[in-house]
Amino acid sequence: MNRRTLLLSALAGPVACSATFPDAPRRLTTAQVATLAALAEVATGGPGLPTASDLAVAGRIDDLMANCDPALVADVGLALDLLASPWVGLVVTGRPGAFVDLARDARMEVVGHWRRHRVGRVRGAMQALLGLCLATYWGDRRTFAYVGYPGPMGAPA
Amino acid sequence: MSRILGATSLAGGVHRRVDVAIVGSGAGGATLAARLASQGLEVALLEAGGAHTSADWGASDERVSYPMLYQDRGSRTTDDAAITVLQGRSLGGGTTVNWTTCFRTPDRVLARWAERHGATSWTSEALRPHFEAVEARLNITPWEEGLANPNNASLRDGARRLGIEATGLRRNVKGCRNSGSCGLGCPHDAKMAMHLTMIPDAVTSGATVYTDVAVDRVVMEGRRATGIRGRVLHRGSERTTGAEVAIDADVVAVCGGAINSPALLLRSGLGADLPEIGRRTFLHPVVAVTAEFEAPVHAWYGAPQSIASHASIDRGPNRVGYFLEAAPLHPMLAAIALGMGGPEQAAAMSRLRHTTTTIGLSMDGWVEGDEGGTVTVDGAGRARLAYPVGPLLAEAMHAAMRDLVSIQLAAGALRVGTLHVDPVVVTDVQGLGALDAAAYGAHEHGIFSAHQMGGCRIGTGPGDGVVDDSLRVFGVENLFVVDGSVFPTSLGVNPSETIYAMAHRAAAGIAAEAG
Repeated sequence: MNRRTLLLSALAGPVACSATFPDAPRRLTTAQVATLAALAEVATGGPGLPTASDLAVAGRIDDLMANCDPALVADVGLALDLLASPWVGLVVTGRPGAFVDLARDARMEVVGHWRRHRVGRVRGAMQALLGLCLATYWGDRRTFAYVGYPGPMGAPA
Repeated sequence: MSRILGATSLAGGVHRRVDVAIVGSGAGGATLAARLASQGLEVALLEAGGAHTSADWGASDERVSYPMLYQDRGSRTTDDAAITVLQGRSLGGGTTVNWTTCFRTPDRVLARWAERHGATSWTSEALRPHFEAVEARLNITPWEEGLANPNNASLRDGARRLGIEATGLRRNVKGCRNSGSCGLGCPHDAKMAMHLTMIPDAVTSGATVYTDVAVDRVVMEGRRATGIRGRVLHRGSERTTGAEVAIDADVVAVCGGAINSPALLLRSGLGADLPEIGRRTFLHPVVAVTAEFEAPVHAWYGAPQSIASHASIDRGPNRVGYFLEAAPLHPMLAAIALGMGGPEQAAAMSRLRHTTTTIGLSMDGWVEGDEGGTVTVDGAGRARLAYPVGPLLAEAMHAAMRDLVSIQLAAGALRVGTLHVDPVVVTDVQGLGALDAAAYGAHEHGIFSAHQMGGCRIGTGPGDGVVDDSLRVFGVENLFVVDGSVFPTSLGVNPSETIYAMAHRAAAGIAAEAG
């Protein structure tokens, strides 16, 4: 898992999203996008906030993938496939099931397990996936009011 | 014809001869270009990033600026992804996105370089006229302490209440409106960055600037460099247009900054004779704490840095020193730095306007046993950086965080938290002991770098360095490195002014070689 490329997508995402190519092939699989959406749903949102699906977080990241280096897509896909594995859910929660099928609390448990994993690079991989979701979500102007951020102090007229 | 030419103007590639080819348009390359062009030399200044200006980044939206103005579109990290490396990449290099903090090189650093690394001519006396010249051109002047935003004021006030030295600093700005957007590109062109100062100076004197050009290698013939070869990139991307760049030159100056400069020398086949290329690369590794105050802080506005403390920069022979500063806190970067996700993240974001961020920067490469990182290139020629965080650095990170937490509590913070996976949260001085139970180092908490140095360091010969005291590459008559990569150690202060002054001074020797 390469966090470098994941962070690339996290930071490049909003720009790519502003120039989305709707007809471009989606290079994450449908299952991977679903896993990403399930992660974004537990990583973001809250009372008074839009949901990740309101802001189309997973879809925007997927749009980004269509414009990225295939190696990046492979890295992201690998991490998402691992996260989606029913065995991961079984090991962590004691209940078999794909990540997308887990209840919200169980998904949070899986995320917490990865974030505290004894192997540093596993922790790094989850931080990267979270970074992808968090940057896309909190970089959206629709969350600024919640944060109390008036936005950048404007350029001269 | 003097111009700034980007990808759209370079469809046919570039094939020409100049007196001096300069690779990199940041603090070193731009200053050098201005000096050499003013002496009548024909200069080509090459930059991999785009010729972006405030017209492109507008109001400095994070979503626009990071991909546009930073290396790897804001994603550069160490190989193990433990350290996020923020490094500029556009016309003006790091000066377009730095936080404008300027220090002259500390005397003790220059003394160490002379004593142990052969940098005998780099005395404070020799550098003085060059500091004065760049300070005048870039309007490097003290920033009134009274203008410190609440983020910086928390560092100043808390430190002073604890008897810890904390002072105002100098910035290279003119007409600053306190937008807080220095790191995202100044929306008001108030920052005296290279694309507004030295580069226009160079162009006025006849230099040609090529942006969107990735330099692959320096062409070597025996003991001489004969030019550079590269590719034209689509603006703001790593994708080549297919157009080639071939510039022959009497002298080549590599000014791509730490990480990129050693990578270029390695791609050029110099590693066999110069085994120190890439070694001793320094990052001033940064740790941070966030502190919540009752009153709003709005740490996203105001000069990002206006206060610094160097009280712990010298902690004795066996402990890594550190210095303390503040950092701006915009939502997207804050979200990544907090990195928690879930309800805790939302709660922290809801308090962001009441939150300060202060940072501790370790002075790596200074004490015995702390050797920094190593730059290599992979099979595709891309730079890679391995940077181990050893016990000496981990101890300094722990100590710096303890200082930062103490200072924020003294400043009146309600609670102070670290950036550990499970943040250590302290609400009073009795709780400081919790910091001692936490783990420190790679993957234990957030670590960042905004100051990259070393990798082509000054030395006495190929056995202990890459360039000599005149910044000439050992064994190559007409190849120079002029940027922060030549530092034999890190500085313990923000590095931009040292690079400006070094380039300003080195120009005379390079002009002589070119002449």
